Parts: sequence; structure tokens; C-alpha cells
Amino acid sequence: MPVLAPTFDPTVTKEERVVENERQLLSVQFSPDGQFVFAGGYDGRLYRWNLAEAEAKKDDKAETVAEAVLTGFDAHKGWVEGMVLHPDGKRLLTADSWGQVHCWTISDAEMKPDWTIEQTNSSWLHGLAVSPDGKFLATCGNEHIVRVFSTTGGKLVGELEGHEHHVHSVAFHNDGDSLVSGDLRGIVKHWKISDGSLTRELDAGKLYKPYYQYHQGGVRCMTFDDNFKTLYCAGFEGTNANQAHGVPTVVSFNWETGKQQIVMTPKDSYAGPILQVAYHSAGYLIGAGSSEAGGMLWFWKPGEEKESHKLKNATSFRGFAINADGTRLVAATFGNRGGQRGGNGRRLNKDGEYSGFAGSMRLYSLTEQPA
Amino acid sequence: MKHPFACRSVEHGISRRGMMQTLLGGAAVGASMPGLLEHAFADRVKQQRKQVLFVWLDGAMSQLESWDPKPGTQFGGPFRDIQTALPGVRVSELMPNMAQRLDRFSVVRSMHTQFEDHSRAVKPIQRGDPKNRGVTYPFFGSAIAKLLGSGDSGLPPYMHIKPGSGGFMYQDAGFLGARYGALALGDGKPPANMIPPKEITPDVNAARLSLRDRLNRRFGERRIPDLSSAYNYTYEISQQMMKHSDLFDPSRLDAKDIERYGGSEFGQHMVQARRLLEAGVTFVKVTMYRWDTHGDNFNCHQDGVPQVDTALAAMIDDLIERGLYDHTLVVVMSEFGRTPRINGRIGRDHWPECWSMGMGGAGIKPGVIVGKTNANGSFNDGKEYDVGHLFHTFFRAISIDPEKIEYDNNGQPLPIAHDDHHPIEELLA
Repeated sequence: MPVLAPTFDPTVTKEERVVENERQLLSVQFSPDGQFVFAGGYDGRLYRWNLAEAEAKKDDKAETVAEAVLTGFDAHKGWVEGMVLHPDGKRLLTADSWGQVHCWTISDAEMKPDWTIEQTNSSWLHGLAVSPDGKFLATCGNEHIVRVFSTTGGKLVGELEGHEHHVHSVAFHNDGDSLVSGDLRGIVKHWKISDGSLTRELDAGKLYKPYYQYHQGGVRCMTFDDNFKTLYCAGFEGTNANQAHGVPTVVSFNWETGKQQIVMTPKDSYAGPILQVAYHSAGYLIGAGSSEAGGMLWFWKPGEEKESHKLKNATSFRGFAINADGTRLVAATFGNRGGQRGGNGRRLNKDGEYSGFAGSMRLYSLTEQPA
Repeated sequence: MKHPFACRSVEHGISRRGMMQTLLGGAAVGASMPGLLEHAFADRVKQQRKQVLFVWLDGAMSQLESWDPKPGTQFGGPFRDIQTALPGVRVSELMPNMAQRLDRFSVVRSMHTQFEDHSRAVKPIQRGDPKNRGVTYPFFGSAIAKLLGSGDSGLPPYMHIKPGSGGFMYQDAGFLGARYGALALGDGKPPANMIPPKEITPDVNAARLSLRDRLNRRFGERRIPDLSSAYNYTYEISQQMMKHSDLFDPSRLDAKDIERYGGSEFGQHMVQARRLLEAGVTFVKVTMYRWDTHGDNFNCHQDGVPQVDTALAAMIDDLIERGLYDHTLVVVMSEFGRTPRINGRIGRDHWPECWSMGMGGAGIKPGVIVGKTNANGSFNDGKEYDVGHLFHTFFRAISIDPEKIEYDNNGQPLPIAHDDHHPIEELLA
């Protein structure tokens, strides 16, 4: 767990540096030493941002691929949906929407996978998690099955069957034998890894709503707090619309009792899903949201229904990560870029071309900067 | 006394030039003039009777997540494609059942239409977007109700199963007159109060109908015939429907059928649509909402496309098994497609530039893929088709020749499909 920075204060969170990318980005992680940021894109590529090199150019806030601080590697075929650090601090695990998982050595300059699982899920893979003891990784997706693999070579060690709907998220508890998975209907299943049995179900139905033959919502993401006593499940509360246009919502559960504790939402009328949550050891739950109005980071204190601080961005947030000492946050974004209009019909850019939206990695300082 | 309104009677809605051809196309108009039909000819018409299943995916299904996937490209999305029954033809992995049946169905991948928002697209597209002649054209279902009539089913020629509310959707009929509107079964249920209370015995009911009929005739003598005709028509139809009340009772639907059709609400509506087709309804429309996926496009399609895939495949199987597919035109389409560009809400917006639709059954050559899009699916690559071409194709497929048949709107001859367009010949069997 990250070590609390003494001066952590979400109100001083500010953007330090941005690296733009041609394609949208979904997933992101710091290397344990904070020297690199890795990100995964819609194009299946793994990007490595040499943050140390970028730091040497402190006068340049915005950077581009041409500055050679960002290196792209052919990694996957589908969207790079999942990216997690192995607890050993040496390996990085990535998973794509087509179900492929790669294990990488962070220090490998060439970034060649150590091993690969070609097919974890037969339909859209949504979630990837690694156990706190580093023994297992788990994947989930639209196939309704959660699969558990060994992190030494990627051998399948278990299949957890019981969900009746798409499984959006998965997380390990640190007790060594518990895993939770959340599905489209807001059902959270607590599994016993050793024998594959279902221990109990938690009801996060607040995150699901049917609307005109559309099942909207789901437990889009989840995380435990740093002492594994509270489980946070997030997504959005559906409305009478079919565009994920509901209220960003977090439902928290007491892990021991399984009882729902509190529902956390923004103070304002922001509409869109929370696509990732993470717990900062200073005592904040951080959520990242996407909407047509742009991205938002919310900072909630446990036990409080409304955020104590928020941070807006012009484009939507997808994934984010906090560095090892809790002083920085990096977020993957996607959205329009200069001169490119979105919306209905033939919208061409200033060069008369039909182009896609872009992505970026945005680095934030979470602490007050020394004078 | 003859009222000037009389010349506007809906009975005069077919031009002289088109009358004979229309009679060839269906029995309903003939039924109003039975003397024109010899028994053998009438039998032949009956044997050749055409029906239509029109599946309307309201809001616009993405072509990239269905009929025309581009995995691994800039706009491809998170899904893979899969091989179909047609060598070299691939569709989204979300359509495994239709992939296996693509040798029995056909797809147009090069649609290009004129409207990029729902308010301007939904109605014109369902009317075939004909040239503006100062009249409101009928929706496809109303056109078929007019051109093919009810047959001998005793049921309305145009029925519409949709989520939400139901009722008589007379607006669909446009200038044809209200009686050619759609009888909509909201949530698949019959109109309210269709089944009379137990206290109303058959004798009492007959007396009520007789009194109502006399009063209506007196009322109608000094009213615009179109409206009073529509009132009477809907009432007559409701009486007919009472005799088929089992068709509208969801509890009568076979649970195994519903399961085969995917178990969804849409699947259930498709089972009901099949029963209506079996019962002889000329045109059955099934609407599925939820497709306007400006946000969360891929989860929406992951949820929705398999519903369509499963139900459509089961429908085709059943129509073939029952010998209905050869004379039932099956159409699946939306008002446009969705943008290749994935927006900042992980959604796709409206895209009339290039999109896909499917059709099969009566008069349609199976296993044909018409047109293609460029490598990343952003624009058509080669010849493209508008909805006017589709309507020419639809009509021709069910033996109505738009070159020979036209509407007569109080003496104003009106083509039934866009004058400048033509059928997609490669689709016609």
C-alpha cells in the first residue's frame, strides 16, 4: 500500500504534466520506482512514458510522441482494458478486450512478454486483478465466468461460475482465499478461491436499472480500502435514458458483515459512469468519471456521502493509478482533440479528414509542492 | 345526398393503372370487389400471399457491432469478428446465430441516407423517403396494408408490437387515411378492454353492436368519411380481434419458444410476431428501443445485439420450418447507423454516411452481401444505396412493382417509392 504523504491534500491536487497520444487510452500504471508510466490504448498498444526523462524537461509541460519520451509497443489486438502491477514490483500484467493476457518485466527495455495467456475469456474481457500475495490473477468479462490463473506462467487454476450476467469487475481480498466479482445487475459475488465455492452475495443493485429492453449500469469497478475492511463498488445509477447518463455512484459495504454502508455521489449534476475507483491510504476514495461534459476526479472521505473535492478535465477519464508513495496520480483520458468535432454525421477536422478522438496521460501532484 | 367528402374515400386510394396489379399482389383489395376475381385466380393469389416482418431497431444499431465489423482498426471497438456461413464474410462476434444463417439472409453494407438526427430520419426512412409532393406518405406497414390488405385472416393488416404504450397509430397511414394505421400492441398486450366483461353475453353484445352500427351510420353521413371510416374500422377490427384473443395472451406463448428466442422481452415480442404471421397478419412490425448509444455504446450493444441475433435466427428457423419464409419478407433496420468515431463517452453518434441493414425471405436472394465500406468503416467504398432503393427492393420482393403501381390521392398519382431510385437487383431472387 502506498505510504501516506504527510502533506497530502486533495484540494491542492494539480496537473503537473501531460503527454498526448494519437489514440484513446484506457488503462494506466506507474512503475514501482515512479520512473515510468505505462498505458494501454484502444489500438492494443502498450505505451511507456519515461517520466524521469520528462522530468528533465520541466520547462515543457506538454509533450508529444515526437519528443521520444513516449514509446509504443505492439502488445494486444483488442482494447487494453486491464493493467495491474504484480506485488513483486517487477512485473506488469495487461489484458485486452479479446481476452489475451500478457505478463511483462518492467525493466525490459524491449518490452517482450514473459508469458501470455491467449484466451482467458471468450467474450469481452472487462476486468483484471492480481492477488495481494501475488499468486493469482483473475479475469472477468461478458462470459459470466470469473477465471483464476497462476501468475507463474498463467496456468488456469479455477473457474468461478454463477453469475448470470456480464461480469464487469473483479478484486482480491488480502485474506488469501477471497475474491469478489461484480456484474451488470449489481450482484457482487464473494468467492472462496481454494474450492471455487460461493461464500455470499452483496447487493449493489443501486448500480443497475433496466430501461426499455436495456440493462444499464453494473458494478463497473471496485476496490477495497487499505485495511480490507470496506469494499467500494462503483458505476452509475441509471436513469430513463440509454446512454450511461446516470448519477456517478459508489456503494460501500462492510466486508465483515456484508451490509451496505453508504452511497456516495457527487454534489453536482454530473452525469456519467465512474470507470475506476482506488483507495488512497491518506483516507480518500478516488473515483474517475466520464461524460460529455468531460472527465472528473472525485475525492470522497469514507463515511461521507458527498465528495470533499473534485477535479475536472476537458476530456473523459478512464483509468488512473496512484504512485507508490501516494504523491502522484496519473490518469488515462480519451476525447476530442483540437480542431476535431464530435457529434452526429460527417464532422471533419480542420484538414478535411474524418479522424478519431485521441488520448492522453495526465500526471497530477497530490501533495503541496515544496517551496 | 352525396357529400363531397365521398371522393376521398380510402377505397379510391389505388389508381386505375395500378388496380389490376394490386389485385395480383393481394387479396384484400380484391375482397372489396370480389366479382373481379375468379375462384382459381383468387386461390392462386391466396397461395402466393405475401407477408412482411419488419424489425425496427429504433435509435440506430451500430453497423460496426453487427453486420460490418472492423476489428483491430481505428474505429473497430473492443469486439472481434467471426466467420459466417458465407466464405470470407465476417460479422461481429455478437451475432453468432445469424453468422450461421447468413446463407439464408442478406445484408446491405453500403446504405447512405440523408438524415443525421432522429427527428428528421425516423419517419422519412420508414416512408421510403420519397420525393416531396406535398403529402404525408405512409409508413411501410401502412403502404403494405393498403397494397396487400388483410387477406382472410380477419385480423388487422398492420400490427405493431412495441415496448410501452399501444393503441391505434393512425398517423402511420399518412394520406392513405387513418384506417391504414397500425394497431400497436404495447408491451405485446392487446388494447385495453378488448375482452368484454362476463356480464356482456353474446346476445347482449350482438344487440349493442347492432345499435352502435345504426348510430354510426347516421353519425357518419354528415362527417368526413375518412375519420368515421377509421372509427368503424377500428371497432370492427377489435371485434375480430376478440375472436383471436389467444393471440394476445402472453401466457399462451410457449415457454420453450421464448427461451429459443433469447428469453428477452424483445424475444417474446418476436415469438408473438411469429404467431401473428402464422395467423395471417399481413405486416407485423416489431420495435425495439434502446439503440441510441451516444454513451456506453459497447455495453449497450453487448446487451442488445445478442437479443436481436438470437430472436432473428430463431424466427428465420421457424419461418423456414413452417414454410412461411418463402413468402414472408423479413427486414431488420434502423433510421441510420452509428459513427465510426468513438466519442468521449465511449459512445457512437448518428451516422447516415454508411450503414448496414438486413433482409431475407420472400423474393430475396439469400446469402448476398451488397456493397462494402472502406478499411476502417468510415465511408462506403463503391456504390451506395438510399432508402428509396430499399423500398423498391422490398416492394419488388413481394411482387409489387413500383414501376406499375402507384397511389391515387384524390386523382393525384403518386409513386409508391422514390422515382429516381430502383431496386437493388442483386438482392432479388
